[in-house]
Amino acid sequence: MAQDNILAVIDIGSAETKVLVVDLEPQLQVIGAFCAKTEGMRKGEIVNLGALKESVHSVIGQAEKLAGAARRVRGACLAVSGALVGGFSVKGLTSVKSGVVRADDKEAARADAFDACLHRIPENRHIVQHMLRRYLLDRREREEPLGLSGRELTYDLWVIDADDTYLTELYQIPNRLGMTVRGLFPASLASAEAVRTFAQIMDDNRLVIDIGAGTSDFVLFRDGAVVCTGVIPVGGEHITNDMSRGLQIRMEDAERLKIKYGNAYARDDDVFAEIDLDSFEGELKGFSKHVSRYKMELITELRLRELFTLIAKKINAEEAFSGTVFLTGGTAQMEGIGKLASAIFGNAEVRIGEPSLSFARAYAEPKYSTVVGLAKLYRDALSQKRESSGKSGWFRRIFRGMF
Amino acid sequence: MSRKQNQSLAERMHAKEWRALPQDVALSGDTKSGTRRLFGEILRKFSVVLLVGGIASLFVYVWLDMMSGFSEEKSGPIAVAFESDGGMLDETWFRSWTEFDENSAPNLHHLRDRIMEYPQVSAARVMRLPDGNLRVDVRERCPVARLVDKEGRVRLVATDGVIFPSETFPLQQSMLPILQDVRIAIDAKTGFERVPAMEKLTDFIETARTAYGKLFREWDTISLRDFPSDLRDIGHSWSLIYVIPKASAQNPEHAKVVEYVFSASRFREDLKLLAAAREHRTWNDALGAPNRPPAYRVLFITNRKNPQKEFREIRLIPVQAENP
Repeated sequence: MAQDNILAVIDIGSAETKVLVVDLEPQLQVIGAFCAKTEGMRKGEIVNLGALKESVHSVIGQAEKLAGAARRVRGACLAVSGALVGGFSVKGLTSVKSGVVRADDKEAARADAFDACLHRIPENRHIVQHMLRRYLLDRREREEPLGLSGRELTYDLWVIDADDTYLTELYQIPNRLGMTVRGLFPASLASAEAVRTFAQIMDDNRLVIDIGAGTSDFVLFRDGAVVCTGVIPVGGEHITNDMSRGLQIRMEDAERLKIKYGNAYARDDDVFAEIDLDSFEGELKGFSKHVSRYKMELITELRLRELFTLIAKKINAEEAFSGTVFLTGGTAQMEGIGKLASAIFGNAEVRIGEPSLSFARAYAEPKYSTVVGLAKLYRDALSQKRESSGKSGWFRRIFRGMF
Repeated sequence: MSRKQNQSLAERMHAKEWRALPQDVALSGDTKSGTRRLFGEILRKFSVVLLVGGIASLFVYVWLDMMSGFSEEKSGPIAVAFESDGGMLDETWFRSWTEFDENSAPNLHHLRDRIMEYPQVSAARVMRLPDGNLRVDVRERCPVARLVDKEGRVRLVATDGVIFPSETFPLQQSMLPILQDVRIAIDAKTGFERVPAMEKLTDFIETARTAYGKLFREWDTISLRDFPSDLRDIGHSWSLIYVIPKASAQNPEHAKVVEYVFSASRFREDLKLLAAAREHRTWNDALGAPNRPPAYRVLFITNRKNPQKEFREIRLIPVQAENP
């Protein structure tokens, strides 16, 4: 029996697809979950839609089975990530005629920002999310300008957009299984929602980096508001690829080597230490029996250093960052990654972010942060929508439930 | 910026949001899971159609069976247990009236309808017993008066006014008073002939029969020439019941009183007054006094000389004696 309050939350990663089947009413709870290897996606981009559909449909089917045969899911919530997702800032400007900011002025500045956004966004792209960064009153930052004196009010808007072709291909995956896409969120925001702590200070100024297999998503919060988001096309797969080439071993061996012995901070205490590939889970398949541990760690460090440096460059473009860095995603589980991030982000405190939400205690691993955060974001958006629709929405829900 | 402009801006923003991109939601069998789901969906729809069809067929079957009176075949002849509360109708009547064939399963509805076509029957219930036999319960109409037509055929009038044949009744029913000057109506629902406003007349006859038996025994005919057809007209002063006493040697008044004229609405007072008067010596003195007219019509009138205290009284109106 199809139920409106049952939703499939889908995170299609380059390496793994994670699906949570959640019940939204009366409170958010996971009723089925499954995770399996993704086919047809490389470095955050769809390379074989047929294979991708096959693998994702299989994961959804398994998650549905675990949720119970009677729960037939009709809605889906997806995360967007990859090189085809971008973000930009637009500013809306208005002059405060009365000298004191009123609601009309705020509305005018907001409308101007939207107008600028519509002018700036290309024809072949659609908005995934837009959010207020800050208000500037006479170029001074204000959290709430209402009632303050000034002459010029600026509405600073952050817009996350994505390519139409990518979105259409992404929609096809649940659509072909009879599911409607009801929610779409950037993976960076979802991860940030999942690793939110209970400390206000820590949450207000933070940088969340979700290091996936193909891409790394990041989002920067300053004073509780989103300042910028971004996607760097570097992830765990790049490290594996580098290791395979640098150590001249097969990709499969490199992947296993990374998982078992990977360290993001190269230790130079014993540069001659070697790892015996024969003793390591399988037979020798590469060109060499032994690989240098230091070399392997150095390759990893260089790639991650490049990633963090790219992010640091982007976030420090306007203002130097000082706050907490949360590392999440599958690669965040690598040893020494915190130490490396600390070295690059200066004095910032670095933490490994794990989903800490009560409804998903069983999924408290960094690789699940996007999918867990997605469920939370969708539920919050739905609650907000219902609150704004008021009683009529309540009645409509009852009637829809009846018929 | 005006509200209209804002609205159009909101619409433009909405058109640029991810929700505006069209979604082609349709199950397709291009993946294994999709095929399974499509098959499951077809199976589910088919099951629903089958279930709904099954329920509908069951309803139709039950309905048709109900229409055919739940007819069931019984191997041997069907026995009938006939019960009638009046005791006048019996199984023989039932068999002959319904032309009952005990070797074929009857339609209970048709059987009941046929029983109800006999005007003497006011209600009937026909049931099939678990052993396949029938049980028939009948409620009969109770006669309160007779009707004699020009050919001398006697029919009976029930308490509710329905006229029915007297073949099934014993001769004792000839004691019932004969109704004259009756306006016969046809019941639109049942098609039976009936005497309108009979309820009031039944009340009159039953009151006389039970409370004033001595008076009632002397009555022969009740004329309804001034009796209304509508119960709402009973209260009018012109609404009267004429009673003609028997012309027999046992009735001392048969030659002295030609008729009693009762008020249709106040007949209880009139009967009481008449019964009291006849017990009094002056009644016989008045009827048997010398030099008096040969016969009287007995009327009951309301004396309104004193509006505060009006009462009914008897008037003897002299009439010309009829030929013996």
